[in-house]
Amino acid sequence: MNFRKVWLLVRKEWFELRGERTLLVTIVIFPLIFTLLPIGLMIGSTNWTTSNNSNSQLTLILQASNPLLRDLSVLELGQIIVGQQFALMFLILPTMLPAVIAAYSIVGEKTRRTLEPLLATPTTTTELLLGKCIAALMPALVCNGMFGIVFIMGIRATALSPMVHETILSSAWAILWLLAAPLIALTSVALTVWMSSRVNDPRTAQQLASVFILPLFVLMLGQMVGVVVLSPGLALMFVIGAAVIAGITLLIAVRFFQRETILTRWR
Amino acid sequence: MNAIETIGLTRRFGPLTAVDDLTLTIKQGSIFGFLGPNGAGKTTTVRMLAALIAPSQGSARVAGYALGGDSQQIRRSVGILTETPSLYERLSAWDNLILFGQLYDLSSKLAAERATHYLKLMALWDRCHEPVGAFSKGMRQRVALARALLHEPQILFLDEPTSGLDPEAAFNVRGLIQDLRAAGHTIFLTTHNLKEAEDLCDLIAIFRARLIALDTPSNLRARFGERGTLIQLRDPAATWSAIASGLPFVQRVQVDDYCLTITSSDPDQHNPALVSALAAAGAPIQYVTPLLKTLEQVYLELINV
Repeated sequence: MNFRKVWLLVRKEWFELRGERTLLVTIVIFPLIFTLLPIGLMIGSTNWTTSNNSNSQLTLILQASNPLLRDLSVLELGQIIVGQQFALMFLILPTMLPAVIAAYSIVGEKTRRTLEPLLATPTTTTELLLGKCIAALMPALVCNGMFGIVFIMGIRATALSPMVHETILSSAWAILWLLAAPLIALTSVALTVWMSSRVNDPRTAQQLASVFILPLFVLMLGQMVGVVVLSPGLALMFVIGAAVIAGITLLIAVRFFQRETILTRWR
Repeated sequence: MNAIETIGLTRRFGPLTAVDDLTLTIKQGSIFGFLGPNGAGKTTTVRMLAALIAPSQGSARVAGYALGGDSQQIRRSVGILTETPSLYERLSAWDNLILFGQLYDLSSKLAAERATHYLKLMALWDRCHEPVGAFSKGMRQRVALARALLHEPQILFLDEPTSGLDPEAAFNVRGLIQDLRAAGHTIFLTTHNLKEAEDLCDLIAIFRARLIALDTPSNLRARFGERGTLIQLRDPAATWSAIASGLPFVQRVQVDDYCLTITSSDPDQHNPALVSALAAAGAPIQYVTPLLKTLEQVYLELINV
């Protein structure tokens, strides 16, 4: 494999993306909202009335799932509920955003009819797919990383007690945020690019690829309702599983990417 | 040496046979014209020969490499100008060429040298750093042509290379195509411009899913066209038409004011006798002009069979 070609394709994709303002705004706006909104809610939490929340189902579940939370006030538990819900978004966003870029990069090539000269070059399918996957992944991961750091700083600054931010920003969450989300994002992107060569409508590919978000949803939802206790060990096992799936998906994508279907079938 | 050899090349899309049993040989260093109506399967043929899509049946060798065997080597050996320029419009002409030069395995230095050379050749040097999106159709076509030439391929597939170009630019491109042939490149030219094909090509194929005819332009006109002779007289032609009609080899005589248009099976053989007979009868002959069918007429007749 020629990494120089991969890098050339990545740079080309980014140059093309620079002009797509709507797409760029989409990439930035969601992490921005999911960063600022929880920080705002955390700041405003000191003014919450507690009378209606004292016996809420979620606070009871939280206390049942983690005995250390039993001594926390209702306001602190409220902050944890808000924080955990938004922390989940930082696991999902890097999975969704690159799929949008990947689908766009394929459909963009097709509508501008630039794909044929590209496929006519001695560029291998692996180089082509890797270039497109990296180009789609990097902006979303960088964006998610930057806003994730702001989120962490904001949660730490606004949490009513250390126990609150330690629960929201648990080591299990950090493992999933730093390792599992990028791997699932890679799976989703590889799947989007691959499916784009097999279906008539790239949006279908994007939707099909987005099912890979489901395991993360299930895991985090399980934790929120107390079915799953998300320990660092479980998070690491999840990461290993995600890495295996990402590797298999990449291999499948390269093996079954249909260069000619993309030229002859799409109209 | 043959640049392209195909044997029974066939491509099906479901029930549709786009290319059926195509067998042809194209010599290295020649210009091959591939003519046919829209939807005839010309693009599919080019895509197969450029290793972009696989044939359903048959075999081919392109630049000495077997189709389906070493696609990467075939892609290195051919350049392709697609029907539309298909450039990255946000990139400048320079960036487009450098990108493709490097994708064709040229070093950065060589890609830059070639890009400079071809941009100057295409009269685009002054605007090479502007985004291609701001270029006229003709300018984009020239950038796309430069891109196809950049890795100096053995075989060039050109789909309507002069489409959208002004007469001067089209003239220059035709000159460039002839120069490329002189330099030993093989040109596979797909065009609807039959005059261009007639002027440029060494060999022409008329194609509609199947090969209808394959020959040199002059042989095609000779083989498939009735051949006539135009005789211009000083007196009204009707006076002398009976003389011509009475000759055994004359198939048809058409009278038009001062002109007789005479059709025979072999004008090269029959014209001396024809002219002698008319002169002997006292016909005031001013000019004798051979009438050959144009490639366009031959093409239209063959395609409409």
